[in-house]
Amino acid sequence: MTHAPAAARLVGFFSSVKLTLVLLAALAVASILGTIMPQDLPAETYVLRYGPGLYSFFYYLNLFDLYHAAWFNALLGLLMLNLLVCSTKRLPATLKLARPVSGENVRPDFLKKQPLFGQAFLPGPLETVSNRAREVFGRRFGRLRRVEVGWGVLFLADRGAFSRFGVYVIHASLLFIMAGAVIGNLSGFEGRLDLAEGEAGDVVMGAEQTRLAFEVRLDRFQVSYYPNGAPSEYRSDLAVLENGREVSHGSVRVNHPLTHRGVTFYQQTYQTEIQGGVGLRVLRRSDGQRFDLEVQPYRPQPLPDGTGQFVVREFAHEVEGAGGPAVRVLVRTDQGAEYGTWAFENRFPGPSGERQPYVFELTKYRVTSTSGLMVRQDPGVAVIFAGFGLLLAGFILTYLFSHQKLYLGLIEQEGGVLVLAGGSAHRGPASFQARLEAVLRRLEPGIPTGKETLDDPC
Amino acid sequence: MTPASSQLLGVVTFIYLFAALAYVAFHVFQRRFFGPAAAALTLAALVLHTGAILWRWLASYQLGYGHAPFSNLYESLIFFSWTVALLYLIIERRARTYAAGAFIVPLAFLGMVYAGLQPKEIQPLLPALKSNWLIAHVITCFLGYASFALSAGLAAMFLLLHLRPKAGRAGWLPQPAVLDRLIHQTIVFGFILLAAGIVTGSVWAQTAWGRYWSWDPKETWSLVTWLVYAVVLHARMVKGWSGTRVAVLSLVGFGCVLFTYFGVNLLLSGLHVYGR
Repeated sequence: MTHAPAAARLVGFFSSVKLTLVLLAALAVASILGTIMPQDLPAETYVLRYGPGLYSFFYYLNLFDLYHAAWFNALLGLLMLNLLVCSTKRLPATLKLARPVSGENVRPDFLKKQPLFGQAFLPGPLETVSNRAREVFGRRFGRLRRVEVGWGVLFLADRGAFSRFGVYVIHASLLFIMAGAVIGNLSGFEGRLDLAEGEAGDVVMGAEQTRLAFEVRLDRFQVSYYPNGAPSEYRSDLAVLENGREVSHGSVRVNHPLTHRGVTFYQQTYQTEIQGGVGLRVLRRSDGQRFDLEVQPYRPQPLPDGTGQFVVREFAHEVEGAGGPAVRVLVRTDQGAEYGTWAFENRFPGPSGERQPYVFELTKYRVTSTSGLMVRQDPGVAVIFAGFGLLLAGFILTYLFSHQKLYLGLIEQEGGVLVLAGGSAHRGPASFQARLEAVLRRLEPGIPTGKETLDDPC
Repeated sequence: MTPASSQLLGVVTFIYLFAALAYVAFHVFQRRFFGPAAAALTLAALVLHTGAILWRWLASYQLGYGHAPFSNLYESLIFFSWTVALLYLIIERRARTYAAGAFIVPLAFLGMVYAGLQPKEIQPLLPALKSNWLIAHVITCFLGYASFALSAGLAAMFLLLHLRPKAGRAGWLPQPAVLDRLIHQTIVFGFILLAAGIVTGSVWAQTAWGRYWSWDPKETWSLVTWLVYAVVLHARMVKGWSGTRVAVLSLVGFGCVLFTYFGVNLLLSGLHVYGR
């Protein structure tokens, strides 16, 4: 065994495909582990589940926040290093393969040794045959370049060399994506901005507090519903204020964020709360007597006839299957009846309330909605999306194109011309061979011979 | 109420069953007749299947909340079976063999049967799914899944040929080298489409949730699947792996696909709850 210099051995290690395979497999196994082990739960939950001993061991390995663990990121980093070193090492060889051939030194034997080869013998003078061959081959293999050689005429076609670089584009795209992720981790911020209708704010609450360079005001929050009562849209109408002046406005819906100065606002949650007193009409079922009253929400109130208590709870824009708006009312009578009911605007509840001794109708209310916006700035996203574009472009270059070289030699012999067609295709050699044979058959039926060799495992 | 298109899909399920049986008969009786008959049944099923999907799509617009039929497990299973049947017929034409049908068309049938067990109502779209990315994301992912399903079917066939070497020499069976190439091609196609599926999903997640990647179990398992096939492709291209080893890895990869599709929803919780 020879002892390569340490540096060369290091390059050898980092450029090996064996390392790639090991890293890909390790990342797959680690990722699976992170889906089996619930992530980011409170410490007590883990202690209860695994016991204190196992808990400290798992905690030490960072298994509860696995995807952000140093060792997981080290695996990703190693893969990127591996990819970079391996690609750099292979690039010169690819450049050499992709270089166009001059053709002057090509001998007939070289044609016969090509991975894909066929030949034909055609009667006629050299110039006639070569003109016809150039036309027929040119149609299927791209522009042919004529080279004068001592032993006859040589035509060269060389196309799709760029396809050999597709795999480098794919690998570069992965580096872009990882770089974008790193940029996002080192800069930018993420947090929440809760705004009530009419309120303006510029402080985003995240891991740390961030003050925006502008203010955002929630003008209106709206939920719309499908006829079956399921929500169809959550929408916050926002105004952007700079130095107290409105500079733009727009709405934020799920799937339709709003971006201003690189900061993006996403619709995440909402809450609707009752403001001030609520007007109710109470119907006593026993004798049909109605009472009008105004009460404060969330506080127990005596029933109008003093035989129990009720409390007005949350507001709902829409009660599934029953319409809305409505407020929830919980009732407890002195006779021991205890139930919850909905007080709809301007109507008593339908059949569902028949067995309840008291039902309610909502006559007056005022609510305000608070919209929970997620606020994010991540300069890495653009880099990542560029990486995505490169990734798909790389696949197209690699798999939709093929580097094809064709050498077409014509040698004048007694009674005609010997046509030698040899070539290579770095992808899809079978289709290249088929085309070669088809063209030779077109030149003169019945003569072609070809050998079935596939040089490329891809 | 069950939409009328679902009744047509029930009929389609039975045609796939007969097609699958005909492909199996092709193996068992080794009569040439069964091949074209099975292919004709599959094609008929695929045509009706396509019609039923378009019908459901149209019906959702008549209900007033039109959307592409990709919004729940029922619709996704219907689409999965459709992509499997479509890709299979393309491969069958290209490879000029009926032998693989017995290993692949049953998958389309099973997908339809599983779909038949799901609720079939056309529901309005959740706000989170109201996006143009839905169509691109679902189509790319499912073409990827279907391609991997094909490669797994071919791999199973390859391994059976390998176990009974004599079988490979029978004229009506494809040569192992041909199968090997088909397995590779379907893996490459699936790999590219899954990459496109992950990319479209990531861009969508960025506009919907503000995060291009959340390590949600569905995301993570799709990445795991992609990594497994990346191992297969690198081992083949650089290390020259082929044949049995690639066939076994292709089955492992498809196991990951199945877990990404079903296992994650059944066993793990996360953001991708629409597929339930």
